[in-house]
Amino acid sequence: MNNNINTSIQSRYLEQQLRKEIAQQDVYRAFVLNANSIAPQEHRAYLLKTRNPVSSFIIATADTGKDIVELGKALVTGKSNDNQLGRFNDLGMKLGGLGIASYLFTKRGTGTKGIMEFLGAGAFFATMAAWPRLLISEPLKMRFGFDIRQQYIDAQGRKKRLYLDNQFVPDLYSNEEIDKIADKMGIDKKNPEYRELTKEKMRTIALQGNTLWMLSAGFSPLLTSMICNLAERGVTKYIVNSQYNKILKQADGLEEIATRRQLEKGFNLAEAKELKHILETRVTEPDESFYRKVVSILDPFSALNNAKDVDDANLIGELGGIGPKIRKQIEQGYGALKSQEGVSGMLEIDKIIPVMKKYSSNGISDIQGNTELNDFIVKITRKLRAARGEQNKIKYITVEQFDNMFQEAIKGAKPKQIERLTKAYEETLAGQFATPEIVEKLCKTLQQIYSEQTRPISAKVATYADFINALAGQKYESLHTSIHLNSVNALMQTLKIPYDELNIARNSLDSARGILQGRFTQIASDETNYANFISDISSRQAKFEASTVDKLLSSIKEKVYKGLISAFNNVPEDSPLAVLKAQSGIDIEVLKGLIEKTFGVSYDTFIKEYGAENVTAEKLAELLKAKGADVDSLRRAPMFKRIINLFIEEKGAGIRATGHRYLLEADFERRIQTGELKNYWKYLSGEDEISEEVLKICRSIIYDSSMNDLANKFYADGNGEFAVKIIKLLFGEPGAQGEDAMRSGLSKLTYESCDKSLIQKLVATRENFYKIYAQMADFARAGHKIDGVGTQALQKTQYSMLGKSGTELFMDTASKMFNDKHWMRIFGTLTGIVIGVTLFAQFFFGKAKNEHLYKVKKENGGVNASK
Amino acid sequence: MQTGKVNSANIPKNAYYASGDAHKKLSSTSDRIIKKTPLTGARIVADKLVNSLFIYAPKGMQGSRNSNFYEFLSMGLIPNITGSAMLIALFNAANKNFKSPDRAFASISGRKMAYGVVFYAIGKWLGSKLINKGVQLKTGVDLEMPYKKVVTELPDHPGDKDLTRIEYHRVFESADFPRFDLINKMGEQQGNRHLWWDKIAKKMGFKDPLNSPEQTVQEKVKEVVVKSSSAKSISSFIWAALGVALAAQEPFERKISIPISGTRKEKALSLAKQFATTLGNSFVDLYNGNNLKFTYGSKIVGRTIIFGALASTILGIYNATRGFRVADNQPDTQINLKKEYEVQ
Repeated sequence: MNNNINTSIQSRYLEQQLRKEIAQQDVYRAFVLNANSIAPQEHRAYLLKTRNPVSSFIIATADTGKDIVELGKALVTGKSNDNQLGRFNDLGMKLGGLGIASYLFTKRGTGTKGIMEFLGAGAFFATMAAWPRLLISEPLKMRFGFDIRQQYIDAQGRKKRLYLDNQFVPDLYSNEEIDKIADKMGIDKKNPEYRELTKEKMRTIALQGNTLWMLSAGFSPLLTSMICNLAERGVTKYIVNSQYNKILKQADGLEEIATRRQLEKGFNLAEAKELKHILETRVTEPDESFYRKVVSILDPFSALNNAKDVDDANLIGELGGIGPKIRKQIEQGYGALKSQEGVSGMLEIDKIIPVMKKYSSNGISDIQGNTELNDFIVKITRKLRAARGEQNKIKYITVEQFDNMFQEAIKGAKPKQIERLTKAYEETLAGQFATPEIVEKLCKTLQQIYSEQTRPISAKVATYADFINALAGQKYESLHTSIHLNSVNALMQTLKIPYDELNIARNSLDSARGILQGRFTQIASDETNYANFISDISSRQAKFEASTVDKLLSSIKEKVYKGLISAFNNVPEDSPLAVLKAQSGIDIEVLKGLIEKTFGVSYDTFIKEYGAENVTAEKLAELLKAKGADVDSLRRAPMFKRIINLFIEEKGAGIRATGHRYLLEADFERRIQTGELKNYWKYLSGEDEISEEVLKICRSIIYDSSMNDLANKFYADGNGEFAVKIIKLLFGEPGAQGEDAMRSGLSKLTYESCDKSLIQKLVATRENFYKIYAQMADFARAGHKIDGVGTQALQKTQYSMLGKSGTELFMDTASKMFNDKHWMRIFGTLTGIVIGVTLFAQFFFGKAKNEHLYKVKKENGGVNASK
Repeated sequence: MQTGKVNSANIPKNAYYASGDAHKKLSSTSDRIIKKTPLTGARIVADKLVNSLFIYAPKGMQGSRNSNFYEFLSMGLIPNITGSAMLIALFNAANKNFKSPDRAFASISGRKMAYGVVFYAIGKWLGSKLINKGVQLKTGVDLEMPYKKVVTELPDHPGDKDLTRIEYHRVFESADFPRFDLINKMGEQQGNRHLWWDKIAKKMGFKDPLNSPEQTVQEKVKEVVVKSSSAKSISSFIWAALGVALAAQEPFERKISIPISGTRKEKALSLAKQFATTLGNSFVDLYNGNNLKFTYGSKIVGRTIIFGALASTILGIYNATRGFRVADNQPDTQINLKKEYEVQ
């Protein structure tokens, strides 16, 4: 019997077995069949293409923006990755750098230095970034054909550097690219593993480059400072230019600035509000100290007299002497006020009785013991005592009160007595004081004058003074100073003094002169050399004078002048400050011409209408102004004109003369070389040779003399005839005729090679020198004024026309130039060495170890299984 | 470290235990957390610097296969030092040959630059140190916890035998892969692999030891690491800026000089006193602004830097530890963290 159940169980079991086996076989077959087609997924990472610097800068900026967003996310969620955290650090460094630069900018007093902070920070980051590129990756790229700073985007979309981690270099270059690089590296393509070898070499080079970067990056500040050193010159130039433009622009907006400045504390004196307070306790006539105080408050220039800046004082010092005039006006005004109001004075009680007694005790009746008189005294004393009140508190009575008392006391007196007592009465009244009301009124008027007239004027003058100072003051980085320094440096650089000589020249005036003189002698000894030198320097100087000094200063002069005059427009005729206005008069003839234009009638008709006798310039001006004519622009203030002219001309004179001296020094050496000087000396003194002694004196005048020497009369004091000869020898006598003129001029070659526009000025400077030295004996007297060159020059301007001593200038410049050169010698050399070593080290790159291993084709995969 | 003498009775049930000797042997040949003393940090830096100069740099210049990212980062110390020295030298080295008064002016800016460089470094260090300390105080996580890594290299030359090298890392230096395994190992050496985790869990507000604390703690620690290192990367540079701003103040223009007379202790004391006064005055100047061209601006920027530094530290610590105490506002979950579940 068949066990069906069993069979069925067995067959089912077998079936199961069988199916399991088939399934396994299927899996195996599937694996075997597809073995070659199953592979890991293609990687999604890719190399970034090389970009031009502009777009890479834009992308870097965008990346920084992304980093900021990512930083926010990381701070909120606490989720980020190592790559991103590394980028946050760079972000922090940039922000910190910006913060430092911003702060240091605010610490700098001058524009150049402030801008340099940002440039410095910028240059620092730039060189940090540029150093590895310029000195390492770019040269290596040129040599080997690939960039060791190559970036790629990883599978997660993060930007990374391919060769950052030596032990994890993704294999992202295509075969074609590798082939190209292999060609560039000169790898033998017959080598079966040449691609592997190329990749290994690339890895080696990248690692070497990165290591070199770490070793040399610390020297990148060298490059930064070299850049900054060059940049500073450009920045200074830029700043001077922008200052120049700014100043020209500013000149138009000064009115507005002045209006705003009125609110400043300095133009709202607390004392001005307390004028009444000064007097309140006295109830007396305004006295000396009151006037002094009031004048100091009302004088628009006294507010500026305490100015810290020397230049302010210079400008305003010229305006001194206005105070007494103002005071006189105030006194007159007060007198007028008194008579206008009618005097209603006060009397001091204690002073009345002695006067009364004095008159009553006079005369015969007194000897006879006249009682009536005594009766008068008793009466008036009683009345006065009564007026004193309790505890004698009241010390003063009004004139009316006294009048009443007197009239009552005098009743019943004899005519003779009355006559005498009236005299006493008059004397008493003479001692009366002004009432507090009238003084108060005076104070109010003065306060009004202060706030309506003095304030606007002082604010305006202060604004203009500041403006002039920014332009031509002695402050560091005033436009004038910067321009001057630039030109002087440019002149000094033309001498091309080597390092060693600078080192000597900077030590003392003597050694500086030695070097300078030696250099000039050397230049003067060669004809072409000298001609080139003179034409170079003179054209430079001419250009500088024409473009900068003259143009700038003269364009400013007119604007400042007009602005200052307009300050007095709002001062009425009856104001004490009108004395200032008198300084800015209008020519009546000009006004007469304006009448017909404005009123449409001829001047004669006009006069008939208004009456001929009363016509003054100010009256005409007022009438014209009422009709809307622009009279104020016609005003002329000789005082201001003179001040501004002097102030600005003095600056210009100094700048010019300094440059001219430089030329004259070279010319002097040339004249010695050519014998022109010797001939002239023979003509002047009859001596055949110029002695060393004479040359020495000449040189100390032309090279060394300074304004201070002049004040001490230099060597000429007491040297009489000899001194005059020397001065003639050096500068020639102005206005000399014939042979004298011919011999005394500049050297022939100087005339020929000097810039044509400069030659006249140069001659003028010589003439000025002659005059200054020739009149030296008088010149040193304080306050003495002499004729300058064609202008009424003040002593100060005349001094400035001497310019700065060439030796002194040279020593200062040499010291600065030495510092620069010395610094450059140390760090320029070091920079060169570091760059050289960095580049040189790269010659040894790219030598892979165990290169021989790649020559044999391996059965399974490449050499480096670990890769 | 407590090794060797472990009483089996004291071992918690869930710790797995290997003999003390085995651990001792293991720890000398594999990565391990090292004990931190006040000088550990400095010693690690010194080790890195010396190695960078004498081992890592030559290796890198030869293109060695064994150069790794750690060595590259360690070499980052070199440009920091040469760069600082360069900056100081640029402003000082040439000055002694200048003539007076140029020399005096030049040495003022030279002195300021030297202080600036040093204060920058101090500020940067202080900025991250403060956040580290604050975070440690609030969470118990020492972000600077150092460990020694044993690296085995490929032989560079035939017959190279000594192929192991030591590197000094920080357990939490990577936000992606913090070395939590070493923390477990440290615990095991002391007989309880949960030792550190329990400590942190307690800081998180769990009163009783959790059954599997690392599961709960790890996520939070990672968060703290990311947040605090993000904050540090900003804060430390603001502190550095504060350092530079302080060095730029007028009091630092004057020379701090060693007194001529007195004992060594007195001299040191006077020097310290001078320095403290200078620093204090600089701080006041920075706060009040200068009276040069940009009075108002310098005041604003100065105060911004001072308060920015303080705020970045406080906010950084606050932000990093915000929400760290999960236990306080833990909703009732279905999983009882304290109960032991059996896996079937």
